[in-house]
Amino acid sequence: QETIDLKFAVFTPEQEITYQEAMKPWAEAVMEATDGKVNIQMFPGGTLGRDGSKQIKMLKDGVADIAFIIPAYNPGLFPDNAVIELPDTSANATEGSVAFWRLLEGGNLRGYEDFEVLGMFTTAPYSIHGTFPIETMADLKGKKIRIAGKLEQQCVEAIGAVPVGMPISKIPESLSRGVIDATPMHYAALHAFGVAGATDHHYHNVLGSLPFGFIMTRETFDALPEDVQAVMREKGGEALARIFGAAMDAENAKLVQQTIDDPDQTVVEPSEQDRKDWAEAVSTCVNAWTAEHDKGEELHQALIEQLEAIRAE
Amino acid sequence: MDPITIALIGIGCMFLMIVAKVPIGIAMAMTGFLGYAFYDGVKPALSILVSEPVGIIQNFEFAVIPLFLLMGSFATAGGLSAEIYRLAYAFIGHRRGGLAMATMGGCALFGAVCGSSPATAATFGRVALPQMLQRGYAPSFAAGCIAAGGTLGALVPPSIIMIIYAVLARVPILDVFMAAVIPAILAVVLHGLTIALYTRYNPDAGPAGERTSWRERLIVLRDSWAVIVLLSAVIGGIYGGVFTVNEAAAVGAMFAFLLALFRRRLTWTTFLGALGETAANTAVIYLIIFGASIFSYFFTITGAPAAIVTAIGALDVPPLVIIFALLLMYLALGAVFETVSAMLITLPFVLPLVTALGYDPIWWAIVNIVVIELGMITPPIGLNVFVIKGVADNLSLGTIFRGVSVFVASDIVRLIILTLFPILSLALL
Amino acid sequence: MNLDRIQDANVRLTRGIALIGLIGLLIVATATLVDVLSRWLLNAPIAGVYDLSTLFISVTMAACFPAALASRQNIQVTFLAELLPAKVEQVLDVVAGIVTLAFFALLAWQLAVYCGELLESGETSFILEVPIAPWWIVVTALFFLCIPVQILVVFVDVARLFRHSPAVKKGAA
Ligand code: NA
Ligand code: NA
Repeated sequence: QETIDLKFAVFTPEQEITYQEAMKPWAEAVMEATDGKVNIQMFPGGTLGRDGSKQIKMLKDGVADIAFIIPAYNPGLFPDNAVIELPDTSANATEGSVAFWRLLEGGNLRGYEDFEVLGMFTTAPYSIHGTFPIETMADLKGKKIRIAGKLEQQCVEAIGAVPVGMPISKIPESLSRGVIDATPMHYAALHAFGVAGATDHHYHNVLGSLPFGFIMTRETFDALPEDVQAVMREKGGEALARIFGAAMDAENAKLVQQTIDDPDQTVVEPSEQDRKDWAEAVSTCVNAWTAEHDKGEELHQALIEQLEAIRAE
Repeated sequence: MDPITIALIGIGCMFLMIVAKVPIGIAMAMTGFLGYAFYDGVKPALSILVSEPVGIIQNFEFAVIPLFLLMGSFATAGGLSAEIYRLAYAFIGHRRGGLAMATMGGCALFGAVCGSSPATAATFGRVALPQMLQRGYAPSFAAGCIAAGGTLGALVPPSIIMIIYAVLARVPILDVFMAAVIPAILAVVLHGLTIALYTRYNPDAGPAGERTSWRERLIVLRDSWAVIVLLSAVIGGIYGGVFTVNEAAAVGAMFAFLLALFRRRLTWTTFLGALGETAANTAVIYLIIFGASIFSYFFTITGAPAAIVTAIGALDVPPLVIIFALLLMYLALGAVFETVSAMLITLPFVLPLVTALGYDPIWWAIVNIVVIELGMITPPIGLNVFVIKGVADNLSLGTIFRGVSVFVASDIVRLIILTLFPILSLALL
Repeated sequence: MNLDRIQDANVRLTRGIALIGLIGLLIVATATLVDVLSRWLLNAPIAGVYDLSTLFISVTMAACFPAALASRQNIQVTFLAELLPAKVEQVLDVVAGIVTLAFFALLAWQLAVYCGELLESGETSFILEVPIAPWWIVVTALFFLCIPVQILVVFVDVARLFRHSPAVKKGAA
């Protein structure tokens, strides 16, 4: 019998948690469960294409069969994704990932019609990491905070800070040069992108989280034998979202503890009052988004409902 | 076919095209494209042919290349190189071989505002060579000194080749710049020692100049305010934690431009000349980066890098032996290729190998750049030597290569030191 | 027809385009400078500078290519070919010119395809969310311009081959 060779492009580094805890185990599980019927060749670290925004083009052109994508790298392509980036929604990667997956599976999110989404997750929500003491939201007033998109820009403005746009690779240098004073980020990324070395104050009021995952084109997926398709779905989807979410939360908890234990780092859990202030401030950018977006209200509601359902499980 | 065979055929085709005068960037791009099409189909190959250039020309980090090129061109147009040279001469010109040392020091300082090795060699060929010859320096020694000094343009940050390495190897540009500081100082010191030793045994090759009095030195220092401001803005800005590399490039280019403008050195002709030169050099560098990226995809898809790493790993020789074998390979490549091409042709398999051996990619950036800069001053193809020949037509290539040979010796010593002691590159990180 | 004049015209026209591009680069440099100063003095960095710079830079870089082709600026290895008879070397120049032309033609064609994809998907920039397709159309046009420019370069080489005149040197005109 003929083996089906599939190329899996991953533009992020091999050591990253997403690769280690989600994509690599998934590929291995699929190969094992199909008894060598498919051979998935992994290309981590951008060896098949280092530009995050070109991954979808690579899939469509047949350079890769499966690709890791960060949908936010193609602004305009997935108009409904931003719902998970809204602040004050998911509390951790597990519930975020599962909720996002369910929204996706329920057909709530546009832009994915031409793709088979094999796995989709969200990061832990972004807390604030800076080079200056942050005790309360008021300390962020007038400080320069890195942003990567329009929603984040509106939220940063809503808390009284000054948004500065730049690619992720520039963050460490920009922090040490005072181009920015702080950046929203989750802990695993803080360490993966070398930002941890440039920040010493960490503040745990949060903005939203970022979705990412791995997909195939509908065409390539439909060409696979049905049993292979079934295995791929079974090993991915909500089950993988749970496994990966848990792994990411564990990693985050470990890194938070490590930061707390480091005498040179300060970690601030906001007070009850500060949390309220924060929620009130960011609600303006949430409202702005839901008002501006054609399905904003509906999406926000759907997400809240999913999160409540997951918390109740 | 096994991956290494396919890759070798690809490399063979590429070399064949290169020897047949196809521009290096185009040769790499077309081999990569055709190889990829052969291996994986035409549609994916076409996709890579466009995705890579698109990714590269929109890359914010590569955009500092034209800015640093502009800074160098405006600095030259504004007469800054002559001032740097005069400044260096005022302090060390009276020693035996002092003019040569001033040239070395001047090249190092100019290297802080110019990112390219041949550009530095060309500038100092115009500024320093006539002076040295006038003072009775041996033509071969004088020209060799400038050819070697020119390499400081790339070894002293900011440096175009360091930027390209950093972006392709995905390490922070700033880290590579930082790592280059001690090695650059070492280069100046070793070249200075070489000059002292050489002129001690060949006093006629580099007679001492007149001593400059302290009063005059202070006057020269005062008159050099513009140079000092530009150097402090760029060097201080980058290392002092004020600017990012991008900002330093923009600030430096604008400052050099304004300086040249206010000194009335900037006629329309020189302004257009500086821009034209930058445009052409930028496109040439970008084309080579396009080619290298497209070629490296073909290389990766064959599985050759992994196979090479495995094969060499199985050799069971100490890592250092492999590193020295790589250095020999670069010396051979440097005989034929220009710096950026030599690095880009080899990066797809050398970098995985070096990191698999457990070495730091930032340390390798420095060693790699030092060894290929050595190729700039060795025969038969030594770009810096050709550049000097271009500004001093009456000297034969043989004469210049002869003169540069003592500096080649000093460079080899430095290369060995940097290879054996990675801490020299990594200490400031 | 005078070959030198064709060569000259080609260089002049493309250099003009490159200059416009690089003046664009100086504008980006100025914007960066204003951004830096505004950040320092007013604590008010300009949010869109990064966003627009990225798009702007793509256009300015693309503007450099026609000029480099017209003035035959390229990194080549010439020493082996120079050992051959002059006629053979001139033939190699023509072949190399055609390979270069092929590359730029393929690239321009695929860029046009890419622009089509961008128009269809409506991709935008990150922060200002302006459509990116128009910028890439300009880039594509500049790469299309490389085709006639390189055709002229090859034409001049072919003509010289038949007229027994010496090869055009790098950076001529
Ligand atoms: Na330099
Ligand atoms: Na050489």
